Amino acid sequence: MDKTFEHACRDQRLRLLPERALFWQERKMLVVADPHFGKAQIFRERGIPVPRGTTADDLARLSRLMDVLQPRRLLFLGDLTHGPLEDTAAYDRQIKPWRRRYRDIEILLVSGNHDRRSGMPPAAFRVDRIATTMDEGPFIFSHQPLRSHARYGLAGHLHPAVAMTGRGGLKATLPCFCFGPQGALLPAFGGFTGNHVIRPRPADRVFIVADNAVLELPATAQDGLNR
Amino acid sequence: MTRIANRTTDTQAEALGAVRQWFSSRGWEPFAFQREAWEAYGAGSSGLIHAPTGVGKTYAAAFGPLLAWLATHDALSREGDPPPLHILWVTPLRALASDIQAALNRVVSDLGLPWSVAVRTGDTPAAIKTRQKKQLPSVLVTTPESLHLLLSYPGARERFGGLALVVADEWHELLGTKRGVQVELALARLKTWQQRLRIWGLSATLGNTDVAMKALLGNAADEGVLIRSRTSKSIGVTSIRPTKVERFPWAGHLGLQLLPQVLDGIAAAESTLIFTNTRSQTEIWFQAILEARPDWAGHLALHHGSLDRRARERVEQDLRNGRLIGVVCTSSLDLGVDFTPVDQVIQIGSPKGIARLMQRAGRSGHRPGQPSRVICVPTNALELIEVAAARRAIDKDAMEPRDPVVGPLDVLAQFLVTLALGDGFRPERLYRELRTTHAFQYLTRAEYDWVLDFVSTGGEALSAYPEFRKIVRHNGRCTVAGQNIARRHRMNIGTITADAAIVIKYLNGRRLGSVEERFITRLKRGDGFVFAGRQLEFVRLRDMVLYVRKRPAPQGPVPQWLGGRMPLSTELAAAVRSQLDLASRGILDAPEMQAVQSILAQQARWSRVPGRNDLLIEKLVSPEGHHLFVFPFEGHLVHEGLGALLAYRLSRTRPLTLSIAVNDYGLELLSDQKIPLTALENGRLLSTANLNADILASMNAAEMGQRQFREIARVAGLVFPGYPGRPKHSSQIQASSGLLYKVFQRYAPDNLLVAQSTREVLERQLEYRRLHQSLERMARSQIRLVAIPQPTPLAFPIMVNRLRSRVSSEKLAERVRRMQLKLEKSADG
Repeated sequence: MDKTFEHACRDQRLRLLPERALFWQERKMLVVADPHFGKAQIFRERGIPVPRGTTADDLARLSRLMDVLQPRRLLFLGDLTHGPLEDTAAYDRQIKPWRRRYRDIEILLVSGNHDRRSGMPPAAFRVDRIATTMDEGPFIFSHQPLRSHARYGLAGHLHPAVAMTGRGGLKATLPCFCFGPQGALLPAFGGFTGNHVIRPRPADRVFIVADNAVLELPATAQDGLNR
Repeated sequence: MTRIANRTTDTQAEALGAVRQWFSSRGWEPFAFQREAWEAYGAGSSGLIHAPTGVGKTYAAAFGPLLAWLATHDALSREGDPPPLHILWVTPLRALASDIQAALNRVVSDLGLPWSVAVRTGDTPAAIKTRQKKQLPSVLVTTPESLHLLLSYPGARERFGGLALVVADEWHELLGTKRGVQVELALARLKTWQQRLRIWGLSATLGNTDVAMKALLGNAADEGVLIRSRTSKSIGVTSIRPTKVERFPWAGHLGLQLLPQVLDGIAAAESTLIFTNTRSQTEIWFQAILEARPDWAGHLALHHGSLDRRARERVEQDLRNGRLIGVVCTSSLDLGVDFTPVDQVIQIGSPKGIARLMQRAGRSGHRPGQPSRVICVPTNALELIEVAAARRAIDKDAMEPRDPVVGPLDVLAQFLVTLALGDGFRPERLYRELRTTHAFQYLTRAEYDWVLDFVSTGGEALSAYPEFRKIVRHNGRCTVAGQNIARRHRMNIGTITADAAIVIKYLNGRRLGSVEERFITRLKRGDGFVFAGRQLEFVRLRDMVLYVRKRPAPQGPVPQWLGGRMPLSTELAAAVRSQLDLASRGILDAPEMQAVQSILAQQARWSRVPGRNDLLIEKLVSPEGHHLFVFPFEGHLVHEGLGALLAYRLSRTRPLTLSIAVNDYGLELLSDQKIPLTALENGRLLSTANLNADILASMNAAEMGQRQFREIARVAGLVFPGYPGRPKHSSQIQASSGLLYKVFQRYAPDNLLVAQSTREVLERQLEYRRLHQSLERMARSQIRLVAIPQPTPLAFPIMVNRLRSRVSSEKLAERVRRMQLKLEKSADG
């Protein structure tokens, strides 16, 4: 949380966190999109030897945010889990103590495509409320971006990123927040998730996550975006 | 005893008589090297047959087992069902498989043998594959991938048990690739099953037959027999030379200017193959030729790897039947296919290698005794030097060697699963078997155990993942855990990786071919472009299919495919250096060298023409900044690595920003400040000390490693490309290799596949060994540092290369024209 960016949206203060999450100051609500917990384990169960440690690291990162920000509610913006696991016991051993530690916090889940496939909700998270969309103040939360809605949409699903080139042939693909006129996209929280390169429109404001800082992409830089 | 021996000799003589008769019925006489090969086979030997393209290697290999079979079967026993698998013929190209099948079928039926000859490749219909699972034909023609697939089914040992001969066709082509390693692994397995198995490799145009033999026969290479044809094929290399050579040549400038002469060349021959180095050049030349000679429409065709397979096969068929006066093509027609009517080859641009030029030349006069003719068409004036150099090298038989791939653990990981799928394997025995191959002769027990753990417990011994499922051990035998894993593995056997391909179709669904995804991302709806010789318009892109319609407008960009730009080979580079050495002493002994005389004179006036022991370095101050041009003549890959290395070492003395540009002859460093040359003077600049560390520090090795990991992840079964041409299924175990690379680097830094990717970056992308050797050579050279008043003819093309990466091509042409004008003027003055 070295360098966050406070973005005002519909008169609300949204803190964009370099941990690839969003904190809604007024409601003390932490919003996390696409963590895909258990993804590496699924790979291993199906014969692809992905090393251990991604889920544990993601949980630790989430805990750090919870400890510093002291949210009242935690909202998962879909794809909380990656898919059905064969061995749920090992998984539960990781999640349950974590949930006990934050037992007073209300957990909400806007369900995503992966959640539906994994036969949600995973009991260990003890999710308090599940829905496909949730209204809250001026916002509507959903996993996939909604087409048009009276409220401002906050969504995940896409794992947005921008590809940039710099001097000296430097190339980087960086996860980003993208705030458009109708709604915003959040980056994927999970450490073992891929990116989808988006092409922002001129009216969009784009905030990139570069290591431990969130920076706004100046409008001029967008001209130089990799197509 | 004596009586039986006599009888054997009799039947042998009889068999040989039948074969001789078969030859003479076609007006041929077996060559000496063919008879030697048959005898060696008869004596139970294995080996390598090295002969130029088109002199009859196929018959040299095939008649050995045919003679042996004829000698042991009298007329009566020659009837009945076809015998079980006897000959396995491995070829690198699917397109070649049916040609070989046809040739062998003809022989078998002419001689009245009851043998069955069949093909098994990725294109073989499922019904035939199922039949082959029960019994294989007497002769099976297949690819390395399909062979491994056959090994992945239970009962393989039984099916391959009666095998007498394996032929590795076009071995020079497989050598040096991971596919070659696949063949080595399969051969080791087959030898274990059949101790008396004979293995013969067929190879053309290769500089290191000893190594080729080692890779083919592994630890039995010492007993291998090398058979060379003495019927050397005469190859005539000529060139088309421009009447006026510009003094400031730059890449791609010349090319089409020579179109009229190329047209004359095509008109004068019966049938011509026109080779270019890139697919986009193919499209450009095809268009240009047809525009000039519309009457050739229908008799001129296009052939490159992106075109639809059926379209390519049609062209190949038309060529064989002599229906075409010309085909514009790329390396897609480099290999074996026999196009007898072709009597001339035109090479557009430098062939970049001696063996490659010979191979291409050999496509013409594909008949024993007939000469091969190749006409080289330079795309810039300096390429004329390469033509002269290549001709001299061919005369001296200085061919490029090919180095086999050593110890690729990704291929090993894939192979272990393949074997586990089949009859399973015992780890101890397999280790011994692997060590008999050339690729894994130095495989340590620790490395082997690591790979074994990687596919059986998911990690190293101490950090095994209990939930991991792939290979399981049962009673000391390794087999595969489940049907899903089996199916996925079989679908992805192989080592060929390509960029994601976008299929190009007309709106009515007719398929034209495919191009790399990256080309398409630069186009948008309504844009026009040229593909498959047609003007097309982008209509829509959906699910990896680009729908197009015909477009009347005659202009459009020609797709720039990524297709690897070949660097100048070490041997050709050396030959170019000696041509320049001769020129530096005033000897211009080839018409090409005389044609570039004015360029060389200009080079000598402003700087110098580098002699054999010179390392030419040119210094220039221009409005752009301070330039340093270095000319090692080692090919652009080495120059890329060298450029980064020199920039790194120069900037260590003082903070400095340098931009780098390269071509096959040299490299340029450009800075806005004066470049300090102390490191050059004290010899540190060209030192090989700390080379490895400096290289890795000077380049973005992490990013390059990530790119290289794509192939490794695919081969080792970490990512799945799915079926070609079909969109990826949204699978829960789909992750990009880049993501996996990052996760491995962070959570399992000792992963040997990650280490392999760094090694492959050094070996392949930077040609590390060659870089090392050229640094040594440069350190021994006499450094000729010259301050130049203007960019010299050698420096100018490199500067243009740098510009090219900055501005769009249209403006570039404009800018280059202006620059050239300026330079020409001052050259006169």
